[in-house]
Parts: sequence; structure tokens; C-alpha cells
Amino acid sequence: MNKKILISDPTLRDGNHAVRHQLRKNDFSTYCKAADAAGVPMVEVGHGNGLGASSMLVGECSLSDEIILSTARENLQHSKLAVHAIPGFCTIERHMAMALDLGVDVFRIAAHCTEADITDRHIAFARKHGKEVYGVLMMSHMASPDHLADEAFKMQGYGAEGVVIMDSSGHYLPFDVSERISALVEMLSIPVGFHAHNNLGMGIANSVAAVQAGATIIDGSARGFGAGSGNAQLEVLVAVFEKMGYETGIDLYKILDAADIAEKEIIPSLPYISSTSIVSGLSGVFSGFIKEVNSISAEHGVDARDIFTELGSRNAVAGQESLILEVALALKGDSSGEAR
Amino acid sequence: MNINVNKQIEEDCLSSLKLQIGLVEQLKGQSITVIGGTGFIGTWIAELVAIINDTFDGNITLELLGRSTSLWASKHPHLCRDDIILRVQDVRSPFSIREDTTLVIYAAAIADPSIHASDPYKVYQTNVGGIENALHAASRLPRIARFLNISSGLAVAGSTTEAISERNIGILDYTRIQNMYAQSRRTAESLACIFAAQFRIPVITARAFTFIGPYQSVDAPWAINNFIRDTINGNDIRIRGDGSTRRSYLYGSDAAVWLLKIAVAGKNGDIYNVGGEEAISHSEVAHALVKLCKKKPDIVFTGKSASVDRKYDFFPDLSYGKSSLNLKQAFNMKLSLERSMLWHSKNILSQKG
Repeated sequence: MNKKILISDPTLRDGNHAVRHQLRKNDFSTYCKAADAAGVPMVEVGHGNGLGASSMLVGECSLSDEIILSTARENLQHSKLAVHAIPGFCTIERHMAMALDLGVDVFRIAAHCTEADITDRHIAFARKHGKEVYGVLMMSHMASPDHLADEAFKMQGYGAEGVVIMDSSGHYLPFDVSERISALVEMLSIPVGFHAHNNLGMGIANSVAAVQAGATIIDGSARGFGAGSGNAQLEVLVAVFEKMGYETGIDLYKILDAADIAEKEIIPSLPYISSTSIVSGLSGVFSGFIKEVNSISAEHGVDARDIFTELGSRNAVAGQESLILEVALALKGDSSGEAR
Repeated sequence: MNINVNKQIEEDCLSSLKLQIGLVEQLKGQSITVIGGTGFIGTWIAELVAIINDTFDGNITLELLGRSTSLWASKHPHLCRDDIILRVQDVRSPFSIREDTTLVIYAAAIADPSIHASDPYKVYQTNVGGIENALHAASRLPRIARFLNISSGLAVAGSTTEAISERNIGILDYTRIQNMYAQSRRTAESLACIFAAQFRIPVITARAFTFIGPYQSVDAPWAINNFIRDTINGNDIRIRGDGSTRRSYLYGSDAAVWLLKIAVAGKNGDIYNVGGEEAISHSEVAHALVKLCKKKPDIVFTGKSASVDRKYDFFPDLSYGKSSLNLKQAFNMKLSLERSMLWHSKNILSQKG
């Protein structure tokens, strides 16, 4: 058994979802310093949807990518600086080249779980410039284990040095994770990773299941700070893996300190499993929708749980935020007897 | 391409030719068609033909069939000459071959693993449908002396740490998509066997292993080329896993000379491995490259696969080709790396302006 786990910390990227992409410059510098001191191997920063994603559709970031990256770079001495990049939002010439210039060490090139093909050029670009690069398959519950493995195999072929599957909607139970991670481990000759969301309270359990099935890359955020009901809680992961005999290279006390700092100085309200989050997880809808769903729900007087259920039945994915209003209006029309 | 680079290629070709006694005479007057001729192998064969014709009065005609001949011509203006004919041809469609052709070399295959993963159907069409079209075309040639199918050692590799012999039939789960490329090569070999038996085409199979040298893309996702690129660009050399995976490497001019030798002197129906002699780990390759640089890059080992028991060694047993055809390498591993670094350095630097 491989006893080393590579921890990637998306507190300053996934956490940005939780505050509508309004993390401040000081938040980046403060947490980067703390994570760096704790020995976190990889710190991921940026807009919640990654490089180049700031927009009216998915949310405008209070800071530019340039400011976020340069701030993080200044405050990371040992930890690698990582970015999430979704082709479509992130272009090679404009965004990846800029990120290279600003000293990004690791590119995590992400796509919807059935669309790995779009990552080809971005992965190749990062490899060509000598950077560490991973493929990321988002909303992974929307593909069968075999299909997911085929998509991961493409990323391996493009040059990815590992593939991470994301439970973007917090939909999985441990068995689901084991089944998918096992399929990838069997198919690939590169490391496999897992990124949890905690909608059903399974963030840690699912991460443990992933490791037991052969994953060696695990994502975790301080205090679970992330979209919806948050991610697997980083400091808990470190403690649990230590108890299980896995090495993360992270100093437990210092990551506990970092999480305390994050709670005190960065996280305006700690993630928790709200009633809506539970329905979001069951529906298999992207956790990052929750702010927008709650807002539209309140504005139009439609039950947020009904919106999530309907979004789930329509297989909504990130980038289809405009669907939230459409669904809400449709539900409102039904309940009030108005025509659609 | 500048004069110095051309000079290097010429020296390499002459060094490789020198070791194959009688090959030049056997090639004189031949009309060769290389299907899939604008890739690595086709380009090296074109270099050899040009040198044999210019230096030894070879009177060889070479036709190269490929999908992007204009791009090839723009990259190799010194090879745009009367005795080298270019023809645009996608092998997935039926085609004909020049009637005076004596040697047909089938080199059309998609070997890039990124395409294996994203477009396996296209790979299968090219590797299997392509050779079927080529064999049909060859069956109409009145003067054909040999049809050389350049297959791949992967067709029979399986999971092994031993040198792979021509007699190895391998074990392959053909229901797995990751084995599709190898399976397509096996099917292509079967097709060639059928045409040999039923239509009396003089087929020989060459199983290619890992090649190295000028005309390979350093951006293609193969470990050694990426190592060379990263070394030249001053980046870390990134090795997947613990670096113990072993390959052997055959330099381009040696590979082309061996293939021509097999085409003219091999035995009908036989299979010949074409690859390097020395099995060397990725880690050893990286350290050898570091030695060749003034600015020493770091060597970084990336994560291991969770399936740590898997072995991906891939190198040939060359005893049959050496004993029956006296195949010899002019460029050992050290020289191959030095010549490759020299050529790629000049090319990458010239691209950067």
C-alpha cells in the first residue's frame, strides 16, 4: 500500500464560492502564510470556478486573477501554488500564460466528467512549460465508473500526471467513491485523487474510502470552507490520515492553527449542512449553485428544495446558472396556475 | 533547417548505412512507396534515399503518401526533389500505389497515446482500415517484391520485465479500451497474414519499439522526448513513478536503415523486432541528459500509480534480426542521446528565434 497522501488545499479557491468570490487580498496572504507554515504541499487559489472565470454568469470576483496569484506567490515559500483551470473560462494565451509568468507551479485542468477531450491543449501547454499538471473531472457522479475511467484515461493520454475526480454536488456515499476510484486505479498508470463535498456529511468518510480504494491525492479545505456545505475538512483529514498511518507531510498542530486563523480572519460563516444542501446533494446539483438558488428562491417565493430537485432532474451543471431562474419561474408558474 | 543540422543528418545516415554491408546495392533501382510517409520513419527513409541517390548513384524513386504533405515539404525543403514524390492520401479511404513500385512500406499508424485515448475509432480505422486499403492496393502491383508492415512491439508486449521476442504472442484483454492500439496492431498483422496467404503478397512484419532522434516531436507525450524538451528549456525533468520503468532506444537513422534492410533482405512471412539493444530506466535516461547540460535541471519524481505492482518495461529481444540479417546499431544509447540533444537543441532554439 502506498502510505503517502498528497494533500491539495482549495480553501482559497473553493472557499471563494462560499463568499460569492469576494475573498480579499488580505485573506489570500494570511491563509497562504499559515498553510505554508503548516507544510501544506499544494495551495489552490482563485475564483471558485478557476482562472478566467470571473463573469456575470458565474459570479464576478472582487480581485483579478493577477492580484490573487501574485499575492499568493509572495506568501508561499514552500507550498506549491496551484490553480484550477476550466477550458472555456480559461484560455491558454491569456490566462495560462499569465499564470506561468506569475509563478504558478501546478495546473489542475478541469472539465465536466464526460468532456475530458476539451482539456487536451491546456494539459499539453502546462507540460510543455515544465509544470505539474493534473486532470480534474467535475460532477463525477454524472458518469458511470467505466465512463469516468475512460475520460480519465484520455487525460492520462494528454499528459496529466494524475487525475482527480470531484464529488461537486456532495452526492456520493463511500461505496460510490470506492467503486469509481477503483475503476480509475485499474485503468490508469498515474495517481488518482478525490475532492469531496459535504452535503450528506460524507466529506471525510468519502475521502477515507477514496484512499482505501487507491487514491493518493486528496483535497481538503480549512474548516471545510468551500461551495455549498463545504469540502472535506482539511485539519480533520490530516488527523485521520495520521491515525491511519498515512504520511501527508503536514504538521498537525500547525494546520490546526491555520484552520483557527481561517475561521477567525477569513471565513465569515462556517459551512454547515443546511436543509437545502441536503436536497442539493441528493439531487446531484453543483454545490456552488446554493447562493444563487437561495437568492432566487427568496425573490420568487419558490421552495429552494424544489428548485434543486428540478435542477437535478434536468442534469444541470456548473456554467448553467441561468437555468436556476428559469426553473424557479417554471415552478412558480406551475404552482400559481400560470402558463409556462 | 540550417546547413549544420542537415550535415548532422547526413553524417548519421552514412554511419548507419556503413554497418549494413550490401544494402545500398540491394536498394539501387528500387521504386519505394512509404504509406504514412511523412512521419518520423518516412522522413528518415527520405533522407537515406536522397543520400544514396546523391552519393552512390542509387537511382531509387521514393513516393511518400501522407495526409499533410505540404506541411512536410515546408519543413524539409531539401527533400523536395525529383526522386522524392509526395502524394496527399488519407489511408482510411481506398487508394492506389504507383504501378512501378517494388517495395511497399506501411508506416501509417497513429502512435500518439493522446489520440488513442480521445479518438480510438480513428486510430483503429487508420491502423486496421489503412493497412487493408494498402494491401488491396499492393495486390494490384505487378512488380512488388516486398510489403513491409511496420507494426509495434506493443502488439505482443503485455506486462513483462523481460526482453520481448518475435515469438512472444502476448496476452491482451482486447475488451479494454486502453489495449485498443495494441489490438489494432495485432489485427493489422492478421490482415497482412491473410493477404500473404490468399493473395500471395510477400509480406514481412517489423515490430517497432521505441525510437529516438531528430524528426520526433518533443511535445508528443512520450517520456524521453519530454525529458529532452524539458532539459533544453531549462525545466525540471518530471518522471512518472519511481523512474524504474525500462525502455531501449533506436536512433532514427539506424531504425530507417534496419527497416530498409528487412524490406530487401528479410524472409517472407517473418517478423523482426526493431529497437535498441540497451534497456535503460527512465531515471538513468534523465541522469544521462543532465550530464549533457551545462545548466543542470532537477529530476522530479511524480506520484506513483496505486497499482504499484504493474510493470511497463518495453524492450526487444534482437537476437533474430542480428543473427539472420546482421542488424547493427551505429548509435548506442549514449550517442543517440547526444545526437538527439544536439539536433533538438538547435531546432528548439531556432524556433525561439
